Formats: sequence, structure tokens, C-alpha cells
Amino acid sequence: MFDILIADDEQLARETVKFLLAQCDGIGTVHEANNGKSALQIAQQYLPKIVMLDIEMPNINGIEVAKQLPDDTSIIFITAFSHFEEHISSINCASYLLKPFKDEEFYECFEKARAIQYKHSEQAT
Amino acid sequence: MLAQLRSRYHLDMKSLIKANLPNKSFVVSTTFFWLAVNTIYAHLQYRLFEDTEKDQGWLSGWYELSPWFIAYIFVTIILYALTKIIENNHTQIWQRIGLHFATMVVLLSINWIVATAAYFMITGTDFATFFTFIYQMLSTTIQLDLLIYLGILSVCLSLCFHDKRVQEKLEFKNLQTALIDEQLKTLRAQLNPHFLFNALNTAVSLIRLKRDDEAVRALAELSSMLRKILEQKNDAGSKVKEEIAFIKNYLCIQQMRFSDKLDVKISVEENCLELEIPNMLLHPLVENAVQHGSQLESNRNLVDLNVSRDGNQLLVKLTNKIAENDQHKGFGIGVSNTKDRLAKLYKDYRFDLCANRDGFFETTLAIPISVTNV
Repeated sequence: MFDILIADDEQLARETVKFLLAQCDGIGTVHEANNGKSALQIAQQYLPKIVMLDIEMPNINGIEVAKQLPDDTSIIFITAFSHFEEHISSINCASYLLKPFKDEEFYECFEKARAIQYKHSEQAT
Repeated sequence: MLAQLRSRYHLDMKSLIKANLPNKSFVVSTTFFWLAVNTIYAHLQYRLFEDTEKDQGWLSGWYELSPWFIAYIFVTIILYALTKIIENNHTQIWQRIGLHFATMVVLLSINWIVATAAYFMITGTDFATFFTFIYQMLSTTIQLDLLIYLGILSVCLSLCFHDKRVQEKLEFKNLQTALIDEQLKTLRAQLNPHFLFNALNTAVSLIRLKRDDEAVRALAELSSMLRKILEQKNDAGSKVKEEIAFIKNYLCIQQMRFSDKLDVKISVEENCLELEIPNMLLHPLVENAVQHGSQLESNRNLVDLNVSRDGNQLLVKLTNKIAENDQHKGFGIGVSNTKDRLAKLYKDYRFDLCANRDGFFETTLAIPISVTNV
């Protein structure tokens, strides 16, 4: 079970991701943040293994947040901007989901991130 | 004379002539043409006088004729450049005809003098008879020379008009491309793609969350926006009530997205609703106000739009909250494009943007009410 963080300034977007995650088994606590600064605070406090990030957020944008997260965190950028894709190539374990997305696209991204985290935890034990 | 010409064309004469000289292929084909004419003429002359006392051999006949035809190579090239200069720089027909006539007199005179001098040198004729020779020659060949000159001139004119047409076509094509770019830019400014995808995502999210009524509303609001943009006529104005309806559509979708942080207040005086204003003038300002407010960390943004009339002026006051360290760069047509647009549309207008001490940003716009509205 992994904790998950959803960081998006749009309430409806957070609700949607929460709803989609609720359909999956084996999910830990789902934390929410509506800006970059509180996303980083929550990340430091709860150490979520999977972080779903919007890019355009108040105070610190999603890309900057991602750079400050631990290297083994799986990051899924969820945004309506397609031109940021090239900026995320330098970030480890990151994938990109363009809004609006299909359910299967979301689950494919999520399962990939979860598989990476399972691998990490197996290596650790 | 040169100074006069310089001031006439506002250009350095050298660069003017250089810019109008024909290309290499024209020079090569002209050279071949006149050498061929020289050869054919020499051959005909040779056949005519063959085995008579005037027979001087094919090659020496060719040499004797060459000054006249080789001179025409230069006449053609110079005439081409001068035709282009005359046709491109003078619009009045009488002026052009006058200049063409003057060019003809000068060019043919130089042609005769230079060609005769070359002929005298080739044949070793005494220069004392130079002017007598020219006089005698002109009395027999002036009509032929004039005919040849007019032939060259008509070819140069046709080429010049053809070049002009090609240039115009190219300019038209460039203009069309620029127009399409501009239309695309306008379309993006009216409804930026980022907003469109977010609005669609809002509808998708609401459907996922089984909030069907809200999803229907979101799609209906978006449809109204798209209808206004896609069905509007170019350069047509729009009534204040139509602009406000578009803004309400937009704000409704934004409120669905940011229900926890966006409040909206719109008040429009009754006597402003039917007034005509430029299409999509207010929307970029409202969009800017919403985007800046989205930078707020915890406070709710308040977008307050007030439209009123003061005599012959339409007053628009827009207030929104801003974050302390607002770094948002804005989207779409943006404030700077609105400034440009206003400057093009009106002589007297007021467009002020200022941040108040209490964390509010105020945009004030005052534009004259157009005559059609009075």
C-alpha cells in the first residue's frame, strides 16, 4: 500500500483523480494539495510514493515541485498543456497525462508508477 | 543631373542600376540571340555576294557586321534595366512615354557612335569620314534600327510586366499566409486552447463523478462560447449584452473548475446592454483577472465586473484579487494586445491598470460610445 499525493489547484480535477483511485485496490492514504508549497509540505510529512501533479499551480509550479521530491518518487503530471512534455525528460520516474484523458490512460499510467514502487520496495527488502 | 536623379529616386544610382540589371540567363540568351542574328545576316550577305566582286569571305563579312549586333547586346541589357526603373518608379503614363522616348534617343545615338567607331577600327577606315559615314548610314538604316529598338523595348516591357505580376502574386500569397496566421491568432486569443481543453476536462470529470446536470451545463456553456466565436462576422461589432453573455459562459465554466476559490459579481446598467462595442474587447480582461486570481494560495478570488454609461462614454470597471508575489504572465490576447487594439480603434479612450493596497487589482476602461449607438 502506497500513499498518494494529488496536487492540483482545481478542486474538480482533484475530486476526479480521487474518484478514479477509489476504483483501485491496495491504495493507501490519498493526500491533497491545492498549490505547490503545500504539496511540498505534505510530501515531506507523509512521503507519498506516487505524486500526481498539475503543472500550473500557485506559488511553485509542478515541475519545480517534482525536482524537489525524492528521486524514487513516481510522478504523474496531469495537465492540459502539451508543451511541457519536453521539460519533464530530466525528471526520474515521471509520466505525462494530458487532460482530458480516458480512464484506461489514467490506469495505465498509475499501474506503471505502482509497478515501479513495488520493484523499489522489493529491492529494499 | 546625377544629383537630381539621386534625389528623385532617393537612392544611390549604382545600387539602383545593380538592383535592376537582368539576371545571368537573360544576359546569356541575349548574347546568343544577337550573335546568331549576326551570323545569319553575315551568311545571307555572303550568299548574296558569293562569287561577285563584293565577295570578301564569310568570316570577314561576319567581323564587319559584328559592331552593330554586338552593340545591340549592350543596348538590350541597358534597356532592360532602364525599363524596369521607369516602370517601377513612375506611375503617370505620359511621364513613362516621355522617359522611354528620351532613353531611345540617347541609347540609339550612343549605339550608332560606338558601333561606327568599332567598325572603323575593324576595317581600318579613316576617322575623317566618321560623321559623313554616320549620316549616310542613318539615311538608309534608321527605320530598321528604330524597328529593332522598339522590338527590344516591347520584349523588355513584357518581361517587366511579367516580373511585376509574379512579384504581385508572391506578395498576395504572403499576405494570404499572414492573414491566415492572424485569423488563427485571433481565434486562439478569443478562446485559448488551454481553456478549451480544461473546459472539456471539466465536462468529462463531471460525467465521471455522475454529476450529469452540471456536465450538461458545462457543455452547454462551452457550446454557446464556440457558437459566438465560430459564427461571428469579421470586423463586426457586438452588443454589450452579447459580450456579457460570453463572459458569463466563461465564468460559469471557471467556477465549476474552481468552485472553492472563485466568486463572481457582474453588474451591467440597463442602458448599456444594447450598445455596440468591438467584438471580444472585454473577455481578455476578464480572462486575465481570473488567471491572476488563480495564483492565490488560500483566499478566494473575486472577479467583480461593472459596466455603466457616463454621457457618451462606456465605463468598464473590473476588480480582482491578486496574490502578493503574482508572477502570472497572462494568457491569450492579454492586456498588451488589448492596449494595441484600443489604440487602433479610438482616439480618446482611457485604459488604466493598477494594484490597490488591499490586494485588489483594478482595470478601468472608458471608451466613446459609437455614433451608431446614439
